[in-house]
Amino acid sequence: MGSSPSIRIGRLLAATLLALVSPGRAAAESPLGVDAAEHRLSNGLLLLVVEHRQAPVVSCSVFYRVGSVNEEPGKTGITHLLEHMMFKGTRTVGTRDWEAEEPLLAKIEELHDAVAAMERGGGAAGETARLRKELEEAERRAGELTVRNELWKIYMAAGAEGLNAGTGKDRTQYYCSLPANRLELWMALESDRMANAVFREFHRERQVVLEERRLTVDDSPGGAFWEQLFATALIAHPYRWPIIGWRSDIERIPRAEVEAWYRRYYAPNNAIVAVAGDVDRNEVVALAERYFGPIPAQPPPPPVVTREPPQRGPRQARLSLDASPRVALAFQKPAAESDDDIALNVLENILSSGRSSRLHRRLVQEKRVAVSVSASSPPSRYPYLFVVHAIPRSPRTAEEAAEAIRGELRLLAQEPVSDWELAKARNSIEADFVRGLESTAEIASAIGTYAAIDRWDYVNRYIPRIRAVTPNDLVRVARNYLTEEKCTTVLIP
Amino acid sequence: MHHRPHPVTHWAAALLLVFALSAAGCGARRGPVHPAEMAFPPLRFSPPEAERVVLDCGAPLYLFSDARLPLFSFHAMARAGSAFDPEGKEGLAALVAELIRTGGSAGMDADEVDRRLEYLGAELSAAADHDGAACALSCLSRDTEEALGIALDLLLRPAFSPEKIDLRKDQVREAIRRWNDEPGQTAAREFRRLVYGAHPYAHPVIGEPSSMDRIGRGDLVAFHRARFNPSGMIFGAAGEFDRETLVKTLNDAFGPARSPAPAPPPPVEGREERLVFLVRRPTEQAHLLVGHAGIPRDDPDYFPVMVMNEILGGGVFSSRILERVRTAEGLAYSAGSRFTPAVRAGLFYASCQTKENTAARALDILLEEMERIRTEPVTDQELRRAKDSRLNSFVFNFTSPSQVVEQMIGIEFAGLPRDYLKTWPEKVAAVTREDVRRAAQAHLRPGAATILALGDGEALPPALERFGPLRPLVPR
Repeated sequence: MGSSPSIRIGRLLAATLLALVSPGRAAAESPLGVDAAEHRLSNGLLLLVVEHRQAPVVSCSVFYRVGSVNEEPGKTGITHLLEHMMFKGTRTVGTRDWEAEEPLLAKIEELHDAVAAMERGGGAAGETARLRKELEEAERRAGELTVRNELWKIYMAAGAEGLNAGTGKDRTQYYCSLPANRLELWMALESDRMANAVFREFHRERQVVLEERRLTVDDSPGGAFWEQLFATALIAHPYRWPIIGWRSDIERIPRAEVEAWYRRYYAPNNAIVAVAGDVDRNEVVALAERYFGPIPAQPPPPPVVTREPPQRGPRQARLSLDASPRVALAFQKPAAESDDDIALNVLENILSSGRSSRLHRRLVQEKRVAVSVSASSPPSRYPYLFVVHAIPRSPRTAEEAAEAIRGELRLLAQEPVSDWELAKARNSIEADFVRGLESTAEIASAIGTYAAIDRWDYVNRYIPRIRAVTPNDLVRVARNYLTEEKCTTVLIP
Repeated sequence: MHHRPHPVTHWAAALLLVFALSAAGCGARRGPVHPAEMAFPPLRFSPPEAERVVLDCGAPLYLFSDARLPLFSFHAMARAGSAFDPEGKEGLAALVAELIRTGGSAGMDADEVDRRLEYLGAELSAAADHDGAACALSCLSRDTEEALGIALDLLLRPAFSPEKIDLRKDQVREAIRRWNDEPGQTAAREFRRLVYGAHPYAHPVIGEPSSMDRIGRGDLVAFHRARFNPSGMIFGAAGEFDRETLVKTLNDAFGPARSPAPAPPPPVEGREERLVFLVRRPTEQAHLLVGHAGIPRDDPDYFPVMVMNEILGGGVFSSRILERVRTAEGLAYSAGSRFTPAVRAGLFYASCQTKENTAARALDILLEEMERIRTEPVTDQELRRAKDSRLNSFVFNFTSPSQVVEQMIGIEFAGLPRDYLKTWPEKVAAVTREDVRRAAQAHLRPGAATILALGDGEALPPALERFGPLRPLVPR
């Protein structure tokens, strides 16, 4: 149940995808695509099914169109906290007796609020201690009625593979693969938690999330570095805060707000179910209708209003972290729907995919200014960031590595890449596509993610769009987006 | 979707029948069934089998043909892991594997190799772990001839370009210079050193702080000559290919039999006393590791140990350690236990990370659970869940052609019998509660465990003292 930073999704998705007809350099006209059946339930839920018979397994995902982008200051991290709570069961899963448990959970909430109020207001020590004792007793009694981690245990006993969930900036995903004869179990469990989730052990789980933050950000220079990068490169858009949330917000978000968040965003009309594997599509549709069909739609969630204003000049942050030097350059870029974003994907490949890529050749092999360098341009629902990240080679500095990267970016804006270089980029993007077809998990994940951030058939349009990119397009996007005026440099000196 | 006949398509036929039964059964039901009690028809599944061919040089070649995707993969495994690094030249095995990939070949300059492979969209990797070095090629099947030719030339006639050796050594030095940036990495690395002591599994695969300075090109050449002799290696190919052409290509490249395979590393000797180490470092969380040498991959207790560890801490949310440390007490984000696979004894450890004032509490739980599973039988429900989890997910070992082949290579490399996968389900199914308790008694040694804590602050040292005298440890 980790928060998956969306910066990593880019690579994964570029390397994902499809069930196909043979691809090819020679056959530019040959269609490359997923044959997904699309079915919309009357409550608005979008179902996508790909029949894919490699082994008797099925990969299933439910996506909710909600991520940290939907949050606001004071509530950052609420989407990720909700994702944790979704593993606590429902009115039937995770309990020995829901009738007895329900009032106890309400009482625990009341007592928690009362203790918190006493602590804030400096209430009498004796009274606080009494309330605390009462709270402990209620938690103990509730604990006796809880079947801990039952949802997880049912899935694992059924042979689930890759069971987990991930919160991103744009979407939240719950996923696993199962032996194909367990598809109905998945439908039963996921429709149940879409409609009937119960947030048991809420306050302890908050502590778990705080430990997760300590592990992945506060004690991790790598994690802290990326957090600072987003917060510096964006000043207004909600992509600027971390998916896991600021610590102050995680510490205070009340349970009632998480429940409201759940009701608003985890509605069938805000959800996508993606199924890929050894299944019959009509059977999948019938099961989805039966299990998800009765869940009522909710009012549509509010739109994300804030747009990032244009960047007025370069920005820089030098971080004081107890760690070795590193540097990243970030540039604002358009959303997944834009053709410019596709051209930037090609640039990402030309810059850093493989040892013969420009940045690797120049910075790592020739100038020896860095030991590694990578570009990432993840597709996103709203305009986001193109990032180049480098690990300098001592005694060369982070500034020197940054300067070498800028030099390469200037070159891209000055002269068109060669036909050979462009062909190499296309070939490697296409081969990665085909490799992604071996995995039902990747297929389900890709179509669902694209449905959440753009449209699922992004996967089918991707290769034709890549093929349409010309050397002049690359010069144009390098000039428009990757300029020094619009560059944010974050480094650990 | 494009679909061609294939030896395993009978899976699909069996499943259609299964679904028909499933739908009929559910339609007839009244009222909701608890998901834990839902019944499913059995999954009809016969594991796809790779063909084993013996090449002229004496090496086995595993083949699995599947033309549904236009992909080809080739795999090679050598007994050339870091356990065979000469003393003082730690990191040599990893350097050799890396330079096979990046140092060019007799027939092609290093940069040209990258340009050609990347133009084809082919992926070629070579990397060492403690026991072996694995090389893998993946390409579109129409490019097999060229890509495989490049890969074989690199594997058999590496040029070990001095410039590329120098480049890689620099990268390793930089990685070592920053290997204490992330506290979790420091803790895991130092823990391995403590457990293995003088055994060659002890040192990090990438090397030690000054070992790169002591490695020359001649060391790479000699290591390659001794350990990448095709007669002593194991090979595999999967995907779309022509069997006869491929076998002929490999026989032509490898030639006749030469010397036999090198021996595996020496056995591991476990320690018999508990030692507690503290790495002082300013962090918000303490990193805790408890453990000792585990079992070899071919240990007769492998199956009981696997089921036992699933219940103890390997089954994530289904396991005792995570349920107590995380779910019940909210002490940590990740917590669990693991037996790592190795030809000789792998590593056993239980671990978690928690804020410093709850470190002693978390460590108590790790040790208590190791002790409890040794003394009390697990419940029937725990045993059933652990076994069901393994048995029902068995099918995920066969989801891609390359996986089918890589798995067989690993089985032969570890010295396991060739019918290993055939008997796997019955061996898991046969594990009893008593087997689990006996395996825990034999293979968990909380009293002789190495304990490593990384962290700082006032609270940590006194809290840890009751586990044994604290030995300060300065990480390399």
